[in-house]
Amino acid sequence: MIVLVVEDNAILAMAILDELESAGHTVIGPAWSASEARTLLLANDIEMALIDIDLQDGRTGGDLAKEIKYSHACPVIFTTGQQHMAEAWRDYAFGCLEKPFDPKIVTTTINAFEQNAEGHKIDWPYQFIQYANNR
Amino acid sequence: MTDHPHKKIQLHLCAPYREDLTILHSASSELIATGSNSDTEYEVRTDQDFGHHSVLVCTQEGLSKDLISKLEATVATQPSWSQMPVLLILDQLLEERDILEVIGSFAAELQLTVLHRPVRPLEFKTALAAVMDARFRQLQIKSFIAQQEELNNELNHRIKNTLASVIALFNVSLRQSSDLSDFQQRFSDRLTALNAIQDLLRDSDNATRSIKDMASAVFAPYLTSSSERISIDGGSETLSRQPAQSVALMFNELATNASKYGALSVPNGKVAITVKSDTEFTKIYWREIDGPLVTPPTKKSYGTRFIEATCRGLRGEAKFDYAETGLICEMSLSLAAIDA
Repeated sequence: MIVLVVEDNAILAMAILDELESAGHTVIGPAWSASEARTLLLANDIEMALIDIDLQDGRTGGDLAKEIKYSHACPVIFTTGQQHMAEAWRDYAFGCLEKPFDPKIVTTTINAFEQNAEGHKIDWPYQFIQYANNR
Repeated sequence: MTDHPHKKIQLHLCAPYREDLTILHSASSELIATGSNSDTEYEVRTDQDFGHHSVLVCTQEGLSKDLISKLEATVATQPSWSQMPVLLILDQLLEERDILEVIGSFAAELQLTVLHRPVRPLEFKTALAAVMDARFRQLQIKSFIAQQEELNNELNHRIKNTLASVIALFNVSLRQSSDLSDFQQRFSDRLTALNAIQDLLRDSDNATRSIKDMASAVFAPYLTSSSERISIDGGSETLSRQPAQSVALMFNELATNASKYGALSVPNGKVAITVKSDTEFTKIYWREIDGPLVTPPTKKSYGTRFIEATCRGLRGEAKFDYAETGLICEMSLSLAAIDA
């Protein structure tokens, strides 16, 4: 899967990148800001976006999710420690991973997402909150 | 942090006798005109549309059933910081307990002041100043509570972010390590660096830190008192919190690597850092000198990839030159991305 990672915590961004790449996914990014993500989106096709709400250019992750929903029509998963902020943008996301999390949960969630899309019955990881149905 | 909100106090005057109202109005206006709380706005009104910023001045004749039920409704919804101040002006004959009976049990929820007729102007002004001040103090508490909540949220956010970093560092260190003691060393080195950065960033919310400050904090464990093994030229550019943390972590990865395999692994080795900025990019050059002979690594280390990804995240790039005489790393960061 081609995954856009938008995260301004450099350590976490790197760990997510490591985790995704070692599971065979392709990472676009990491971008630190919504504006950087927009630049990447112009040049790349993506199949999923992992977006932190609070970014280097402010609380811009929600707006970014909204844009992606219309421009790329691919699922967005928020990654945030501030659930209530993600909630406000739930219409534009498939779900939310609650920080702090073990980076492994990112690949577990993507696997679950793929299984779910194929119609299998799955258990979402403990820290994942589902907003929408992808089937 | 936002400034505490502008305070606005509504002074409701309720006096059916026109003469009373005229006197109350002019006394109130006079008091407000000489009031000293410059961040507070006052508004004198004669309606009974009470809120939690209201103060009521009411004569005995104004104490209608309708007014009492409006007061009761306001009190029923008042937040914990609020206790509506009410100044009553009563006839001499009326005892206070009679009035309490008229108002009802919710009178305890009011901050009640009673004056008896005839009321001298000075007496009224003093009492009015006191009830207005009571409301003002309550509004101060209100904005203090709001600030406190905002601080709590921010702190909570930072703690979660820090824990996310710690878990990520744990994973990375574990993946890199060949055995437990190796893991312990790598993990604790990184936590120590994270802590040094935290100390530097703790002092204030919005203050920026220079690249030089971040470098000094990170390199402290690698420096001995006698020698200047790590020199930095330039670096007065300031960064806000998150970029500052990332630059510091890049320095930490470079320093860790240098102390294991590079210039800092031998007694006479040195590192020279040069920082230069133009309108678009800040460039940080890391140059190792007088270290052991360098052989290019066969596969990219975590540190290398971390630096590459972090520079990329800031719309810049990182270049590594494994020159025989010492590693040269050039990191460029877009200031526009940082200030965005």
